[in-house]
Amino acid sequence: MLPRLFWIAAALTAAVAAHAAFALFVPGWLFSHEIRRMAASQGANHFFILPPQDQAKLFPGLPRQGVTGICLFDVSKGNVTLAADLPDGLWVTTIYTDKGEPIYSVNNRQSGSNVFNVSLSLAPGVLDMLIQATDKERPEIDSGWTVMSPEPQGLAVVWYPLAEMGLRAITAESVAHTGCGAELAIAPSQ
Amino acid sequence: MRGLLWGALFVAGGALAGAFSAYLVIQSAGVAPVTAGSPWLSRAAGIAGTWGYYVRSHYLIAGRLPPAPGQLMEATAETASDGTALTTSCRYLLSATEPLPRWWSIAAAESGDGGNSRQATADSDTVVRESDGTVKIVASLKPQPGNWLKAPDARHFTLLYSAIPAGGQRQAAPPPFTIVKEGC
Repeated sequence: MLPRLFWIAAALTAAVAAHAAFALFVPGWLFSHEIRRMAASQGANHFFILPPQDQAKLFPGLPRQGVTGICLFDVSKGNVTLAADLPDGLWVTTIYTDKGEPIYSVNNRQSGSNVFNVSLSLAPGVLDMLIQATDKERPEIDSGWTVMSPEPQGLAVVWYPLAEMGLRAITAESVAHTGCGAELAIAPSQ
Repeated sequence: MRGLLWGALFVAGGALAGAFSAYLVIQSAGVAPVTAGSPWLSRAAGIAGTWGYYVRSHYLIAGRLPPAPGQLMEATAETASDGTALTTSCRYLLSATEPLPRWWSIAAAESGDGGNSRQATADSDTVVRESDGTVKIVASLKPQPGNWLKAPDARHFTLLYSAIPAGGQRQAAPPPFTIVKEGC
């Protein structure tokens, strides 16, 4: 009786552990693998336009004629700036953590400008916050255009829908003026 | 010795069941009709709820990103308004009589995960409106007059609706399209 109870308890423990391990690691690993494949030739902190097939993979419901640009950012070694320089029209810019959690999003109406900078930095950990609270050295947050990521890596995504495929190349060229990197900023045009 | 072998198999079975249960929860968590009786299903409410982690994992496991909350609303339909599954052997009329959002699109895909770069879409920029401002789209495998949404070359298909809310609205309204089976 006792050995049977032992194996039941062991099987239940294995089931709980496998459930947690699958939910915690498999989706994130599959997603990271997909993103790294897309960004393989570009690397981190570099903004680039996705080809239509990768765009279809990332946002399967959206029309293929749109333009999607991404930057795989890494703030582990310092702040990164997304310097958006977008053409007139409807667009949405969203910052995700590498676990797919949206942490910041803005569209053309909310922004009020097609040229703007988003400063990305690593959110302080619990220990850092305790030290800052003690030392009264909490860093200043300069504006609403500063985003603190809870993860060192993430993804900045710019999506620009288009009415026809013929406009894609010229719009992609325009969206590609957006930059992503350390200490990078575009002065707003007058 | 035999008891030990059975025990090990029992534990391995438990681990498999645990992993499979996680997969099932990820695929089903947070899915709810956008309104009672609607064929359109959405994870928008679920992603902000208790099961948010599992809902987000649903997107990640397919190698795609979840829609940005408050920016892009997403809903899927695997059935017509009468509850029957969408099949490529039938023709479906999608009609919108209620106000449409600022920007919207409907795609016909083999599954809710999409992924096929050749899937057909109709959107607010390309659709031709009726004289009274309403929108009618026919989803079918064979070409149709007017707005035609080509169904994928598969037995069943899924409709994916995406929308950006109108100015001043925090969230996009539920999909204004009814899905009526016209003929098979």
